[in-house]
Amino acid sequence: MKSKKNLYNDQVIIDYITKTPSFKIILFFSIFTAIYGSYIIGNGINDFLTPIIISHTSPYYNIMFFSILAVNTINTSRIFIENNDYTLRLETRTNYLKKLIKITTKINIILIIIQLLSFFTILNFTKLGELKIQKYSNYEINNLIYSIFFIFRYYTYAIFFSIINTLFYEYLKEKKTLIIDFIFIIFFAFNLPSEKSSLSLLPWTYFKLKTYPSFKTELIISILFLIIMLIFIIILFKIVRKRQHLFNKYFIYNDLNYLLKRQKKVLIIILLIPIITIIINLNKAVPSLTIIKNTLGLTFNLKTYNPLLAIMYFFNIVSFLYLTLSNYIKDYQTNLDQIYLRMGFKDLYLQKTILNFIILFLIKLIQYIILILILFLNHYQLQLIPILNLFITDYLYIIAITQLLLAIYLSYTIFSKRRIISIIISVIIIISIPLNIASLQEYKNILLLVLLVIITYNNYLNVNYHKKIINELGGK
Amino acid sequence: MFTKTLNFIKKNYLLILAYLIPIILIGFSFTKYYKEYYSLEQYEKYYQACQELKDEVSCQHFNTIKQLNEQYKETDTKTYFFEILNHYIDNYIVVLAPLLVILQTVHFLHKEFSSGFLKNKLTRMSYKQYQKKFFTVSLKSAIILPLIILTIFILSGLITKFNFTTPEWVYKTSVYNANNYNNFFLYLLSSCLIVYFMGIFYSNIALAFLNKSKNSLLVIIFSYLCFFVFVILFDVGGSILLIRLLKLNPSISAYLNIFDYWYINGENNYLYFIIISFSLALLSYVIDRVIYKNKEVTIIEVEKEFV
Repeated sequence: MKSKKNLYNDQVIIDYITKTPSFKIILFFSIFTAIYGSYIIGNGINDFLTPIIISHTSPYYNIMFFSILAVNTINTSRIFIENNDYTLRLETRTNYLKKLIKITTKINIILIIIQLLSFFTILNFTKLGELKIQKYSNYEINNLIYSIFFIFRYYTYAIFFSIINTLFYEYLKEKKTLIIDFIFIIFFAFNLPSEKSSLSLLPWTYFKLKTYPSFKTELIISILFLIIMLIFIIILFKIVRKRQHLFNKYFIYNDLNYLLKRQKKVLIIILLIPIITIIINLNKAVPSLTIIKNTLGLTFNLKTYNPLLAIMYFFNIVSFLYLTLSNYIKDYQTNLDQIYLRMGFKDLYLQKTILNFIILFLIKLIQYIILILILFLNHYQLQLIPILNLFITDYLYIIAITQLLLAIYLSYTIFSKRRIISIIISVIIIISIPLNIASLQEYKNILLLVLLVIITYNNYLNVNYHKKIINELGGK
Repeated sequence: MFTKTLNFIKKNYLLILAYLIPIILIGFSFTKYYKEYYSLEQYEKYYQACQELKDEVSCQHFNTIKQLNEQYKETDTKTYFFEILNHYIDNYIVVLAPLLVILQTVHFLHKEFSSGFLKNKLTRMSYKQYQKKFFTVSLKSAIILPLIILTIFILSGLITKFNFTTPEWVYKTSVYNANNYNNFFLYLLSSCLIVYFMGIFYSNIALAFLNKSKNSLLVIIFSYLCFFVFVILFDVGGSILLIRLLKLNPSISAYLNIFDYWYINGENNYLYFIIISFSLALLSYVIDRVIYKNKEVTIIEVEKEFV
């Protein structure tokens, strides 16, 4: 028993990695970053706490820190994977992945602790006796509590990113991971747009100086983002564990073939109908953005009821809903042999969903390009950024609605004994759906969050109740 | 008893849904109309504010509501009926009516097609006999639409105690239309006929796509999608073709708008609406006849395994 424990003892491999020259170089750069953050950035500030937040929100500090973290993660993963004698003893791939994540996380924590110790040691020397505790910004807490919260959030997110990085390394290998890391790190240099008091899905915004309406809001948003990262890690872990390609070529061709051969009439309708309605809506006194909104029924609401808007709104929803549902039901009903032969039912949903999103994105994009072209040919002044914003909202709304209705349909099919409850819940959900798509432009993050929840629920149904789905939908 | 009811609901959920939606809609429209114009809650609120605060605005509102309350007592059946039809239910029913009919059509026939039971049926009856039964489904499903109009009329009548004397203040309201008021029963009959024919047309759309998918939900969605396409082509396309290209009188656009088929403006000719709706029903019937002309083709379609 004791020998087995020794066999899996992390300390042995951690000692081995930390003694390598590459780790020592990384450690040197890490201490240098700490000196840069505390001494150079904090220079001229007569306070102990302010440099902590200022340096951790500085783009240069973030670029340096995350580069070191990425290199350390890759270095640790490489040493771990090369150590065949050790990895062989882990027996299963799940054990192997868990151990890899554990080791990289531990090494990264060691690095972070050393960096933080260096940071605060230098800060102690330079700002000793200058601790000014005061109310932080418009928050109800003081700057000491906020600094502790900020540091804790900063390094927790950093650890989560390093886990994602580890999984990427395992899945995509070194070169591709390095490219992804480079793209991720470079974004710290840009000023990305972020709305106050709303959840931002751009991770870089959490490493910038940003004040929320209250501390509670910031805390809730930080926790929500942490949950999103956690869900992402779980999904990524499952994909990496199975060593599967994200897309099975057969299903890509099958779906595209089905769309272009069996649904070509619907495709033509989706692209043709907006052309007819935009001709009616063309009016020089109206801006191009409003014309697009009216053409696709994006401003429809029940209070100011407009019949043509209502028709276009429902056309927009129903057409995409038909494409989505038929795409899923086709596989449930007629493609079961291929599903079981090639990938199994459990992975079907996620793969089909990503593919479906890409297909709907392309169709929506073509729809918008056609409308923009018509407006351009009629000499309209085009407001491209607002149109792009509208396009993203419209697309997110459509995919969220189609996934929601798929969830309702699947629940209705699965819980056949509680069909009345399913109907009542569905009716309540459908009634509470906001109709005015254009007004949701500021709530894209919420839409994305809702979409994520629905996808998780649908995935749960597909994984746990696929036999019932097949049974009820009459799979052949 | 409970199990029987539950089984009935499970078996006929589409039919129940088709009848439940208009019931909720009618109830909602009547409540909304009453609350908006004649609610005593508002009356009491403003009455109290007027009495206690002697506030000018509240007293003015109070007087208006008081006047409306008095008017409400003498509102006639025709005004109540037109108000509900034109200002409350019209907006929703135009979009929902096709869905109600399609739900019923799919409920009555789709299972025969998807399960292949049709083949067993055809061993016991001739294809002609089956076709007769098949097409009567559209006549049966469409009944719900005139029923909605008649329900609104009966409810309006019950609320107003079938008072057909139009008070003078109604002449100034937007809902008043001399032609509709003077020929009220002719309007009612025409309206029922028009929506019934339109119902047959909607049902025929669903019939045309019954054998296109084994999944009833997809048939419902696709038929519904076809309705929207038809509305856009009929209204927008028709306007472009007849008014812009053929330079016909722009007033004909009223006959091309499906939304006008639920509440007919008195200035338009009822007969034209009846002719157009009947033509649509007939045309769709002919198309369906062509689709289901050949027994062999129909059976082959049923035997196909596709979504």
